[in-house]
Amino acid sequence: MASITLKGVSKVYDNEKKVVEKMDLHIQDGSFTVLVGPSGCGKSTTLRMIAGFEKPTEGEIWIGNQLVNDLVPGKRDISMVFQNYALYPTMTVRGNIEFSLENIKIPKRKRKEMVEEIAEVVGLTEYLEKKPQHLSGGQRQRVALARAMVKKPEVFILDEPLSNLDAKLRGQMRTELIQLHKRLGTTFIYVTHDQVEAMSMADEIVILNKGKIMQQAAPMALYNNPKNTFVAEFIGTPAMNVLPFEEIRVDLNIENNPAITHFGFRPEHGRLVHSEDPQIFTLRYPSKIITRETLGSETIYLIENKLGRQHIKSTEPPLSEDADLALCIPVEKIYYFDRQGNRVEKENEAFPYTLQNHEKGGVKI
Amino acid sequence: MSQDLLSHLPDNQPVAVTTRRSVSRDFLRPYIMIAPALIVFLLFFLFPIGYMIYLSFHEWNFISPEKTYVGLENFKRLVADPLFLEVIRNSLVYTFLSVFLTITISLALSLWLNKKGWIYSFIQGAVFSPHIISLVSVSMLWMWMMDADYGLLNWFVEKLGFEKVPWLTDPKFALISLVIVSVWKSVGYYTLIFIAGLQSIPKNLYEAASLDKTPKWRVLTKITLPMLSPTLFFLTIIGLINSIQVFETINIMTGGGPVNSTKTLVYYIYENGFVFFKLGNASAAGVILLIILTILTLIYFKVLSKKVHYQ
Repeated sequence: MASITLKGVSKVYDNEKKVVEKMDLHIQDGSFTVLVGPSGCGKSTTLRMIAGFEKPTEGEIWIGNQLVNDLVPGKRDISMVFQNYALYPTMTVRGNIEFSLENIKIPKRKRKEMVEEIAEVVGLTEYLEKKPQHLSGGQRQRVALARAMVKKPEVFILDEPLSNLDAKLRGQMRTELIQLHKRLGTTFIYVTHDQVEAMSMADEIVILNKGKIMQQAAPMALYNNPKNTFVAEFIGTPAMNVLPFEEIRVDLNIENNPAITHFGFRPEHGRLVHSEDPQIFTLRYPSKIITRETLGSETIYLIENKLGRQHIKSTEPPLSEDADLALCIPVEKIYYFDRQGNRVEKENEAFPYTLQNHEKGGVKI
Repeated sequence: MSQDLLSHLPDNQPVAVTTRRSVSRDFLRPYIMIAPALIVFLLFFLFPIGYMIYLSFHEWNFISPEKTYVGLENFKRLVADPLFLEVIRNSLVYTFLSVFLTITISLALSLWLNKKGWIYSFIQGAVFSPHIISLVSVSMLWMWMMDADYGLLNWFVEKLGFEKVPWLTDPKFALISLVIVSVWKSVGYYTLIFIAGLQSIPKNLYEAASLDKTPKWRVLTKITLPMLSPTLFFLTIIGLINSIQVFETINIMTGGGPVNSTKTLVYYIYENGFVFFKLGNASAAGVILLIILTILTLIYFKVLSKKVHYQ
């Protein structure tokens, strides 16, 4: 087992496009770390540099206490599950799993034992003699996992491994991967663009954008304490509503404060009430529903009011679309951001004093 | 019948159109459409083949009005003729040597040239260039290069301190010399196809192999070659079919000699038909060539559907 450390790693391609920029990253030994971000954010490049398929333009990559910049992929003690699985199409499932063992000259009897043990774990025993093209997507996925596992590597790298599976299978494989990580206790690095995957599987999430780390934290920490609007809007379905601060500044009786330009609140924290309901919140805006998605256990509304458009998530029975409604925003659930999109926290001296009082409760004063 | 013919129509098509007349018109329409191609095919492909088979059972000298039916006599004579057996042997030796050498050399070249960089593109272009030169020019060029006294090859051979090689004038060397020309001419084209095949192998497989600590030769034998097998197989069969029909170089460079050592099947057919006017003999040999080619083609499709890996 090994931790992974990136020190000031950059990757610049021939066309001088910086894909990864001065990245400092520490991935803890035995953790399940998910690199997540929109396409083109540099997550795959980061992964490929760790695996050794790409050389960093500058910086150092450490696996455990070994500097691996000049080490070929085979010597890094890494296993990888590729997005398209990259199974050897001319070999059987057994051949695929066995291949790396043959390469390091493990005796035949021992090999057979190891392959069969792994096949048992991933439930492939009856498919061992089949070729990959005769397997379903989920089974191929398992072969790829088995092939990676049989080597007993220090680090597991998974590059969007579930993106080719259908929704149901993806959910199932997610749980299986979590269990697998628990059992193996190996360091897992997992790349995805799907924040749901990231939230549901990770011990730690690294959010990337344009080659830079936006935030690295545990899933709930990210959710509750986003460091910037990018993270706030990336995590959560629907995303956090981020709106100009000016409108609520007046309603909250705050003096002009140049440090704060935007505010945000999570869709599930906004509340839709009928306009005749008693006024208990400071921030209350008459709104109308634009669209309504009823998902069974919850309903997602897209509403419009003088702040703009927002998403609201509610677990209460669906409201009729033409109802006369108002949106209430509990003040203690509001996040504040500056011009650069960075979070302005309570401890920050730019944080308006008047708001500190609101933090004690959203009840109208 | 009419049901079958109309089965391609959507279900909600009105059934009323299936009157007798329109059915016959629908039946004929596709045939009328393909008629031009069909006529050309019948006239210039099937008819000559049929006529050749017909002639192979007759004796005819191209000029006299009557063709004498001789049954299998032509074939019997061929099989008993030591020259014909030598011709078959020459054809097979030439074919297998040139295919084997072309495939091996171009495979090696493609593995080397399948990289980015101007030098590789340049070499690739250089190797390919013989392919676009006409065979007649190639033959003339090599006749000069292989000239025993004034040729470029022997100049090199002498410089290296060896005796001159009678490339085209010694029965021991002539067939090999023709193989060299054929290999020189086709290696570039084969290399190009091999490179295309190599580039269609997913890069991920090599990445996976590198993580699996695969030694280089095992990458070649376990990944590259199996993944390349469709290309390899395609080129082998195309090569066999082409080589067994070799004619131009022989006609220009050796004329089948010396001492019949470069006389191959197609040259034999040509000589019998258009030099000796023994049309029956030539046709019978043509039928034998047709059978060989048919077998090769059948193998091609049979193996293609089974052994060769396709993604």
